Amino acid sequence: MSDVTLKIVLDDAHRDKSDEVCRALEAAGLRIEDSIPAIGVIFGTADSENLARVKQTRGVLEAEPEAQYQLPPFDSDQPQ
Amino acid sequence: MSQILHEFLRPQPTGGTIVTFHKDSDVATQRQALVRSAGEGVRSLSGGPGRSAEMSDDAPAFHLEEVGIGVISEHVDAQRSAGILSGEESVVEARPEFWLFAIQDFQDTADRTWGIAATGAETSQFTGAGIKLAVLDTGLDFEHPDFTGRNLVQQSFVTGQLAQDVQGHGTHCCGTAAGREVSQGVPRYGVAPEVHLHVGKVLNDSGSGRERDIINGMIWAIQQGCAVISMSLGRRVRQGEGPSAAYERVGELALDSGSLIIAAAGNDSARQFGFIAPVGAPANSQSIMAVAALDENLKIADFSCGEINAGGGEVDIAGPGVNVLSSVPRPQLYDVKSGTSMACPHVAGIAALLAQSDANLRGKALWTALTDSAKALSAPASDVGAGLAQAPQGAPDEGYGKTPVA
Repeated sequence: MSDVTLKIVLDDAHRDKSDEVCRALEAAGLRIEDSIPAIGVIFGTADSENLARVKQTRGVLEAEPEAQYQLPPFDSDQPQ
Repeated sequence: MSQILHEFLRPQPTGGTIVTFHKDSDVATQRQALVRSAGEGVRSLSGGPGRSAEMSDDAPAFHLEEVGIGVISEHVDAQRSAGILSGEESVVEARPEFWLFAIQDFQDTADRTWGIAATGAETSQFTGAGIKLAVLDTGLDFEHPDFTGRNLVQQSFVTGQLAQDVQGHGTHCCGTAAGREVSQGVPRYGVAPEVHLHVGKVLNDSGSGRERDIINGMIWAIQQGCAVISMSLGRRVRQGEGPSAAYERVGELALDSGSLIIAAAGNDSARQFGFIAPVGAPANSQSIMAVAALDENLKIADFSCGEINAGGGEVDIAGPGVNVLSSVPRPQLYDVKSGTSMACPHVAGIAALLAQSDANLRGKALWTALTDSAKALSAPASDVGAGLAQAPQGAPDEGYGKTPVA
């Protein structure tokens, strides 16, 4: 199975309870890498077979793969 | 005027030559001169009845018989042909042919770029002094001569890399928002030259960044008390895709904290083919201002994303985003770029001028002031939102600056 890095947004009821949800997410198989309590967002990596458990963890509003932003080459004629 | 601006403003030769003949020289003599200088195969063009003038690239020269003018192809050795023509008695003048362009509403001058003029920053008495403005991007070339000696704040969110810009994009965006006033040989290209610039590196030296680094950068800028946060970055979204709750929360936190996040709408449209792409993320958040790009005629740029998705996917405002001169890392120092990435820092700079004009203009109030004062355009709101961002022009006692910034 492969690893997936997730951006997890907590629901309004758990937005201020990042520590509590982090513990539950770890129990579901998520390796926590970053937590931003100011907005209730957690980043972490899980084996893909644990994804369903992570998404169903109490307090999770959204769990989606962390996106990567990429600029076009700066020395190209492409719009920046 | 500087070498830099001369380079960007100089006429562009096609490589061909325009030959003007004496009006009393006969057609045969003119033609022989063209053959001697350009070779066999000169094509005569005459607009007589029943004849159609047909231009093609394979002839070495065209002879416009009725007006006594020859046009020598760019494929002919211009130096050699000029030498021959200089000895022809029938020739009055032989000079390089130049490309001609449509007259534009705004153009760069020695004093300022077209975007500084179109936004009214050129004539505003506000400079951004006392206002914190963050640019979240690839960083800044801190040794660029236009930024050395300035009071800058920097922070990198990219593991193992300093905020020093290597890629170039960040230095260009910082320049448009906060580059200096007109100086010897360089036009003014910064909208808010005296703003307190905060440089947050959230994209690495290859121009890519993780969401966590970008969100951490946004939170940092809010906590630093930046009234304006400029983000010339984004990713494509699908038709029907809504904004992420994460960015919506950052945007709301910003507005509640007296900050305004301004983001590039994205460059994924191909309007010449009738395709309009939806505003990308994170500009598609309701609490983040989405900026479209305009050209020098204040028309929507071909690539600029539009309103396809509801719920935050609207375009809120527009800024100059085509052929924008700004700073780039040494040794080049300046370059011209296009994109909504260039439009975004124009609007961010204007936001800083507005914020300086009235200390009450923060967060949502600053958003409303920007859209209320924007210049209405003929393009639909789904493409340009409220229109072109405009700098405050009034003196402090004429409606702006009621609550001056200390």
